[in-house]
Amino acid sequence: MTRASSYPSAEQFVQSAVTEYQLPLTRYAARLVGDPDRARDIVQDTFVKLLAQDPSTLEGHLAEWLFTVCRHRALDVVRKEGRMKRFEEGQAERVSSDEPRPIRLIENAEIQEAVLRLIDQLPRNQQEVIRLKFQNGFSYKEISRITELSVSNVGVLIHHAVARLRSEFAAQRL
Amino acid sequence: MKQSKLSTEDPRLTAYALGELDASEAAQVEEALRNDPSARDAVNDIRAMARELERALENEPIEPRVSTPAVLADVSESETRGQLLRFPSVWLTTAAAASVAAVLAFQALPNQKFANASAPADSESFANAKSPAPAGLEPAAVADDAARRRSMRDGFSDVKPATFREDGLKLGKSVASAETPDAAAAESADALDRNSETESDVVRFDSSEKAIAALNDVHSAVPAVTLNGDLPVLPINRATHVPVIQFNPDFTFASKDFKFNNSIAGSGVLKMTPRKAGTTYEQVLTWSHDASENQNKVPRRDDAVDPLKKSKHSATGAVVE
Repeated sequence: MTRASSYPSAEQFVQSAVTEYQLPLTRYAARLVGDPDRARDIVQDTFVKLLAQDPSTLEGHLAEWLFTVCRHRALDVVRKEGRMKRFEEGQAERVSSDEPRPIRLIENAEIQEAVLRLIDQLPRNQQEVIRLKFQNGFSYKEISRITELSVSNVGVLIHHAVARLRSEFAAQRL
Repeated sequence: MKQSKLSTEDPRLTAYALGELDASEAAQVEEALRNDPSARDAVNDIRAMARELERALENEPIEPRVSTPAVLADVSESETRGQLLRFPSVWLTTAAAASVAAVLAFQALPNQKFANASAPADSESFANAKSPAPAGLEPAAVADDAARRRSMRDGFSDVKPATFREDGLKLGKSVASAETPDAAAAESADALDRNSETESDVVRFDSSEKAIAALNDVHSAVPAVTLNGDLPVLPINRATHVPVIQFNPDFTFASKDFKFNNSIAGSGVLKMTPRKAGTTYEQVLTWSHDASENQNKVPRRDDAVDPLKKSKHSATGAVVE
């Protein structure tokens, strides 16, 4: 993921940001609020806020700024509208009880689907940092600023998440 | 790093594998890895898992899978606990209307007392009477902003407005009351209170299925608005009419637009209007003049004032200025 550089005009700056970050932001927001439609609204609000920013102030950390604003907006939405998907007890167990097929016999797409299912079963805070790290390419420090967690806390969350994913992924390959 | 062996439980191992350590920390980890094959294997496994994660997440669809809870659900859950009684905006509007009606009724009460106090027979009782306390408004439940938004979105087409008692205004025990017909809902609310007392943070309903069912039905119940007032200090044996529209009002704090329009209507220029607010011809001219000065002499002011002057002239024979 490239970072912001110099743009001839603010309009081009925002247009470029929309082109580059709309999809990852929407995907991120959709996981935060559990609703793609609301996620699109949140991302739109994020770009509206970007319009009011001086591009020079975001030089080098545009992506971090966008994800931070997007996350704050998602928090506002969840707080104000209570729009969320209630986690139904036992749902994780039902998902994990799907018949695991030998990983050697399934196609790459199915491997990816299996990995995504494993991610979905992680605790929510681990899911968020995993996506910020491996989906959006942020460093521990950047994730720390986006999520307002300490860097060491981010490191611990990612470490435990990866350890659990390794273990469960290996179990599926047996 | 002083220890030579690096535990696979150490978060620095993952940080190293992902290139998150600075140069000095990375050197320390590499030193530890040199004599630790299991740690080296762990690093390789972490990097392999990272590649799988990147591949899988690269094409992750925007639409969350059915089994995926919202990441921020915890935030919402923790902040919405204890707000289980949510009333749609229609109910709030109804409650507000009932409140206004009750307040109007109580505002009229002192006037009634003054009228009766002028009679000698009532003077003593008036003197001994307590001053009426303002109507105590106790809404049964207050929905928060989020709940109102949710109710607006979801819609409550089956909600009926609260009804007042057939015997109308009753000064005394209850001025206006639209009681919730579902007694079980009230019982469940009591259960909520009891549980809230014992568990300050988390509200749980494990006392009875009935109470839980009643909470589910609370959206279909008529909202309860109970207005409590003092016992009557004067005998009430006839209907009391409370004028909602005041005559001869004091428009001290009204806008100039409002003053002007109302004074025009009250002066008799608008023959068809039944409402005649108290004012004088001079007041109309003054307000008109002020409004015209403040709004760069808007022509419509003169248009309205001219017929007023003619009306005044025809009624009194005065010379139109």
